[in-house]
Amino acid sequence: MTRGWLLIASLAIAGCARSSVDPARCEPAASATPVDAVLLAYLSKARALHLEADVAEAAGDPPRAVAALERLITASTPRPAPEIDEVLADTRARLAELRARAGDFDAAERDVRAGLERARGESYFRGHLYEVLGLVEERRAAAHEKAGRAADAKAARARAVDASEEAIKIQERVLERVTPAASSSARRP
Amino acid sequence: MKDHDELDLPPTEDELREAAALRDALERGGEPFATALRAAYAPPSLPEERHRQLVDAALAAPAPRGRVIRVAFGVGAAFVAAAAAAVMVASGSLAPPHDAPLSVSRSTEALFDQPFPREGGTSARVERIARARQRDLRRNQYARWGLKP
Repeated sequence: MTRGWLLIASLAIAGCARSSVDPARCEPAASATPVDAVLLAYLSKARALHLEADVAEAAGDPPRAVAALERLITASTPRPAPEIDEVLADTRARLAELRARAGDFDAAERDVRAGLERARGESYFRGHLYEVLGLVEERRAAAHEKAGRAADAKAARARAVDASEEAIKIQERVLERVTPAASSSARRP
Repeated sequence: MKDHDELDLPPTEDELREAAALRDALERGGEPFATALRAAYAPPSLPEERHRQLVDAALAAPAPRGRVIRVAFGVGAAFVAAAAAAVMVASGSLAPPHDAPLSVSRSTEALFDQPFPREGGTSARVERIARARQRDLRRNQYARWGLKP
């Protein structure tokens, strides 16, 4: 339980420190750089590698899917851009899912941490990463339980709950921001 | 030039010979000046065969005059269009390309109206982001040209 809160607290404290994040709202700031062919080339490459991962997953070859996504996260980025940060954050979330399915929970947790570094502002991307962290901890708990490590399983389950709670809070705040009218009408008696 | 007194005199032998030669030439139709005079005074009808040849030749050949007219109109229209564009730019009704607002790089949050599913869907999201920025890029290109998409 303590480890879960420490992890979540440390990730939250680290938020809003990067230059591509608007500190006032703790969300990705708009860049003054116009959308150009360089950004499009990067996004096209990201799309192609995710499709490659789709094909590998459909063929029952998760390691090849992981390899395709690792090519994306290790490739150099053309320049700082909110779109690139968000695509890489989402890619990390997908990698974490794949690694957790394969039983590599520590690597999955590292992916989530790296993804949160890319998605520091409150957004669906950040909320999704916490959701995936919850999923990783659930699977870790199941693995501990299967191996007869009840205490470890209990701790992992607690971390899963904490991560899911954090995900819910973030999603609620994002929903309030993007749909203020809906939120205020929902609060009316 | 002969004066009036001389005109009243009877023609000389030479004058009579020249007059007879002219009459013969008019009748034969071989002398160019005489032919032109006769065509102007009493033009004969064109023979049917010659008429057909001329019509066929005219219909078969391209009309160079028409092409000249088309070119002239084309050049004229281009000149008028260029002048109109210059007037529009000078009066500010056609915004210069560099003044048009460009879509800038920004968060893609606006593309998603609800939280993501717990598992899966990443490819679809990346696809949506790439498509949206593709539209932005196209809009920027139009804006740089001073056009609206």
